[in-house]
Amino acid sequence: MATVTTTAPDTRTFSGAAWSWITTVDHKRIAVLYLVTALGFFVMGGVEALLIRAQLARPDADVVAPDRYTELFTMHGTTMVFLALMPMSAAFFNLLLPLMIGARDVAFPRLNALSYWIYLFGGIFINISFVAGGAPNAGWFGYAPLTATKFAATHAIDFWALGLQILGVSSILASINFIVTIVNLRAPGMTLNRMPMFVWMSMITAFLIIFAFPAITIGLVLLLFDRYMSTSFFLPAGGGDPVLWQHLFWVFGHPEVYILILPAMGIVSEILPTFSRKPLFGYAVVAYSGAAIALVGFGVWTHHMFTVGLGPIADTAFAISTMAIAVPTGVKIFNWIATLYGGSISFKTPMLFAIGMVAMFIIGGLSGVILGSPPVDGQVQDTYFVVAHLHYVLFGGTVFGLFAGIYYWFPKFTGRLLHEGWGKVHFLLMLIGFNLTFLPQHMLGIDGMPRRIHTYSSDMGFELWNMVSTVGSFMIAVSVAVFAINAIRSARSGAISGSDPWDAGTLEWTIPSPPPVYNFAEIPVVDGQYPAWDAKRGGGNTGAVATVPETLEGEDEPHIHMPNPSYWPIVMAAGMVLAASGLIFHQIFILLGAMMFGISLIGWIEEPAE
Amino acid sequence: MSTHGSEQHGHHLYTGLDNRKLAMWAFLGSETMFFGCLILVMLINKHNTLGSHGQEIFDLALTSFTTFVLLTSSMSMVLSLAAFRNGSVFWGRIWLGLVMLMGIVFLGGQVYEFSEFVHHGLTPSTNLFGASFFTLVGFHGAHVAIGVLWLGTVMLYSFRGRFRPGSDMWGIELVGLYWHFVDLVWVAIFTLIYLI
Amino acid sequence: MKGRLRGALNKPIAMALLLMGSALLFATACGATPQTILEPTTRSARDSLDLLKFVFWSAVGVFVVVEGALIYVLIRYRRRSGDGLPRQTHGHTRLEIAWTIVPTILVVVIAVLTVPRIFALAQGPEADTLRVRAIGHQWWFEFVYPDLGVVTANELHLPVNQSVEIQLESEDVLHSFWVPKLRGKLDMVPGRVNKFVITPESTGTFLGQCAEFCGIAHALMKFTVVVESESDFAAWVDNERAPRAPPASEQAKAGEALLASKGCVACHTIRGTEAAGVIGPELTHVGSRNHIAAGILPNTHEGLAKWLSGPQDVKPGNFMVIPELSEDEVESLVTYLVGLK
Ligand code: HEA
Ligand code: HEA
Ligand code: HEC
Ligand code: CUA
Ligand SMILES: [Cu+2]
Repeated sequence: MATVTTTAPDTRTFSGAAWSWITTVDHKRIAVLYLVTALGFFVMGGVEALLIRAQLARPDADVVAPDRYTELFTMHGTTMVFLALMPMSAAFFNLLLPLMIGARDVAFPRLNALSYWIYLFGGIFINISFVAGGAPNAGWFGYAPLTATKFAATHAIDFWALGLQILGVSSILASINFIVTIVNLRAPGMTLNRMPMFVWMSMITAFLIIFAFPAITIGLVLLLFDRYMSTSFFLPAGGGDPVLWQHLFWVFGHPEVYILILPAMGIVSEILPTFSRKPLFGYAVVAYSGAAIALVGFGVWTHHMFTVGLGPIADTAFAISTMAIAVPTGVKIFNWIATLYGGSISFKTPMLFAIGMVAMFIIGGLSGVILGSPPVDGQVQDTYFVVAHLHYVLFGGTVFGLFAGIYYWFPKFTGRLLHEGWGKVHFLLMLIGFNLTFLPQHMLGIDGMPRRIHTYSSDMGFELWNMVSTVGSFMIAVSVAVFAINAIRSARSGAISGSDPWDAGTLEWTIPSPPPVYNFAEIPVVDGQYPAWDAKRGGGNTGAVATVPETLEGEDEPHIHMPNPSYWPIVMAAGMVLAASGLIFHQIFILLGAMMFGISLIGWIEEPAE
Repeated sequence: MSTHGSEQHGHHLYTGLDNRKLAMWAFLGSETMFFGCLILVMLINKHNTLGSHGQEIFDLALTSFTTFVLLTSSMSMVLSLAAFRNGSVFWGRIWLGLVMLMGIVFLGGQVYEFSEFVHHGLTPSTNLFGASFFTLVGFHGAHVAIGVLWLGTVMLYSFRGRFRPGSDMWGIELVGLYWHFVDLVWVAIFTLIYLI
Repeated sequence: MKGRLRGALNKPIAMALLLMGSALLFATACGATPQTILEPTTRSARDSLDLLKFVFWSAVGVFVVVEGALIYVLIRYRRRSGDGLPRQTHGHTRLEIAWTIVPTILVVVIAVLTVPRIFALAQGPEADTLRVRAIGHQWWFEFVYPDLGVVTANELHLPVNQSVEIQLESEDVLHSFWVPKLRGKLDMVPGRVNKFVITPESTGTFLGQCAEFCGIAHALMKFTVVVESESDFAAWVDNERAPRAPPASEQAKAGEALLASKGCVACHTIRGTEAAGVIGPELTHVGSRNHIAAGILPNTHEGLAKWLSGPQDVKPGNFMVIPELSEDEVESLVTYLVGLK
């Protein structure tokens, strides 16, 4: 195994003027952009959550005004889902997919940059609403007809609808890119059943995105027509039906929750084997169960609508399909535990987070099954029981999984390790804080506390658990601050990691950290699921992985053609978002944006990619 | 975009399929869901609509004609690609031009139909039928219009020296895929909305 | 070193378990939660709770087994110094089949218990069923008894042991009708009509709350259900049907006079006066209710005074917009309203 980086990490890829970041088409830099932006939005969504918790800590409190409160939970949910967690997954897709499959970049590097810039501008666009006359305030699923002009006369809902539309474009473009990358750019020998599990889960996620997002796109288009062209798709007064919105939203919304969890499951499926020094147990079953979850996930959406009154037959059908999902999910969990079984488990921080993910997700999954029974759901729907469920799966599952990934691949991003001690502090604080915050919310739901209420009176018996929950949330905040400090310090002066700090098995660990622009000096030939292990341990075909020749170190590779940087992606993204903002601010922006879009399109086509 | 054959960025391609074509397939998969949702909304609202449900103001003769034109254009698209492939740039351009022309005829029919409806008092805000109809058919029309523009750029490129005998044809194949898809969607719309 | 790692790992999980256990204990021990779903008083609510209990304990069983296995494996197979490469296992078909089938069986059991209850909850009315329309408004509930000619707000009266069909409607946006002790919630969807049937089995006052986000005052949209004996209910109906009680004092008379000049008549109905508005709650017998403003203020002198001195302070964003009233005017109006028994 050639260890290229023995001294200070090669910083070529990660330094340079702002300009080079703006025009970069390197998937690794775009990954960094995604990660940093998403973490920024995570803190923003977190601060919104803290304000929510501050308001709810005491009965009859007056920390934030009621209208502010509605904005806070709407933007908290929207931010966390669309601006923090999904893009954080995208950061991992970007960094890892090419590295794991032995490719030099994604299939369409400029399109990749475009996806990022649309995401960034879309995120900024939605948040501008806070200072431009009021933020979205109808909840993250914006149920009609509360979003109709009659009940929401300001532009708050327009910001939300247009913003989500913009983010949808970004997600779909990125997913198309990832699908092509995975299907086409795998190194020789990397058959489907040799792909790392993370790649599997990413591919399924990308398919979910391209098939699920159109539903919300249509929903939002119809909503915008209702608002701008006085149609009445969702307005009973004109013969429309608010329930149609719910169908369109949840046909997207339920697959969306699997879009959020599958990447984290992929991450965990990489980390558990590494730290127990055993291959993933039941590889094929884990992969196919992911596909099964995705497929069945398209047939369960009305479990969010059990209280709408769709009738007992629909409720029955969807209750059964909902519960059925427990089976493939359980299979994954059992295979993870079987991976650990008989292993040699070391408890490094990434492993702690991965184990935390498994342990906490189980709780969230089980409360999901409770919700899946319509007579039970009738009592706990729209209460804090649901809030508890969704945070156990989204925070306990996705956030823990993503942090596991950050600790695990941080060295690949930066060439340096995150500090272990502080990492463990982060983990402990977060685990305890998380459970303090959300476990009591189950009890609040049982006690009859509805969600989305800005206040409650002191005779309801909600005080104790709300206080506990608030204390917990601030503990999470402390843990995030610990992480932030750790990350900033470690990126500058952390221990040098070398190319393979964890003795891992997948391809990305065979190349230097951070990887050179071209990733692989020679495209490797793969003949197993864990090529790096095979090479190190002498099992399998040892010659399988073409390692980077020592002589290449420090040299700029003259003979490997890499895509040229381009400023068209950012111009195009800006044009798109500018045009969208024209619907709110001034028509002239539509024209300007369209012009920017057109010019960048021509520039893009005319520009040689390499 | 760059114009390498099945080798892109010096990568070997696992499936041997062109990246761009694969991307197009994925995109069209997404579009299928897009139009699927729109058609479902239309079907739901066709039956729930207040007042006129519009069926009686469809001009089936006209729409059948434009449908026929659009279907024929797909054939023409196939012929164009075949001609370019066979090295006959001239015939390639002729067929391509015909596709554009037929696309424009289709769009013309649509504009006429829309204005007739508005004339009869059916606008997007009249009732749900109008709203769903204009949304669905409008989005499809927009796709046709984009297709026509795209065909135009392909034509332009053919004059700028692309698609010569022996060179790669992905530029035409891509727009062809798109065009066939848009055509297929129209078949679904015509059957489900106009005929049934 | 290893011991420390293990401790570091096990403690939080143990703590989580401990916390969960104690939390459960608390949940059952705490009595002061009037809106709890743990004290059902009808068959519907009991059905839901029974099912919840079953699914919950099944989940606890799964939790204990799976998390237990996880913790066991973590402890048992932690890395020890001198560990070689562990045996490389790749899968086990029979195991895979086993852990697919066992959860499937559990899921089937849950489904089998769920389905009949779904249909039970959807059962239609009987012949002698009392009909009530419950109409959601931003942010209060209107109750109409079409067969009895009674209209009231925010306080639903029902006779005990009588089956009632409640028909849910909405004037504006989505709301949800939820009285945990009586039944799981069902949404009030504009343009649709939802119905359910319940039979209250014990008298008492039960808290309800709107459970679907409906705008700025969603948190303050509550109501109560008063289940009473048949005779009490009959008496209540008789009283409700009567026009308003004429003002009994000079001050009350002054209050009634203010209805028109202060604009109350535009929004409220008080039968027996010129007030016939339909935007706000019916006030003909407002004095007989326990709460005002959708269950958030006690219907006392002070409560009413607080409401009339500043409805927007009590319930920001609500649609009762009135001119500023002087203290005297408030006094008169309150005296008058209190008298509307
Ligand atoms: C990461 C996101 C994520 C994931 C993975 C899930 C997973 C599941 N969810 Fe959840 N859900 C949300 C995110 C997620 N959910 C969100 C955000 C909402 C709220 C939206 C809103 O209203 O704002 C929601 C709401 C929600 C509802 C609607 C609640 C309501 O509004 O009334 C329901 C109802 O059925 C539900 C069910 C389920 C089920 C059955 C699963 C299953 O997939 C879980 C399967 C997993 C397990 C069961 C655990 C492991 C399995 C075993 C150990 C095997 C053995 C187990 C058994 C046999 C039981 N979810
Ligand atoms: C997608 C993931 C996600 C995540 C990660 C979270 C994280 C959190 N959520 Fe969120 N939540 C949702 C998704 C998520 N939530 C959704 C979808 C809803 C429904 C919205 C709706 O109803 O429409 C919801 C709703 C929701 C509610 C219900 C509101 C209501 O119904 O009225 C509450 C209340 O407690 C809550 C709390 C929290 C808390 C305390 C956290 C915490 O875990 C947050 C922790 C993070 C931080 C605290 C970061 C801040 C860090 C610092 C301040 C440190 C400083 C550091 C630096 C400066 C570098 N959430
Ligand atoms: C613009 C319409 C409007 C006017 C004018 C108006 N009200 Fe109201 N009123 C309402 C609405 C709407 C509510 C319900 C508020 C809520 O709970 O959200 C209400 C509630 C009330 C209630 C509480 C009823 C209950 O059972 O909860 C009382 C009492 C009341 N109004 C008295 C008055 C008096 C007295 C006046 C005149 C000084 C008046 N209102 C003028 C609209 C109006
Ligand atoms: Cu009405 Cu919430
Ligand atoms: Cu769901």
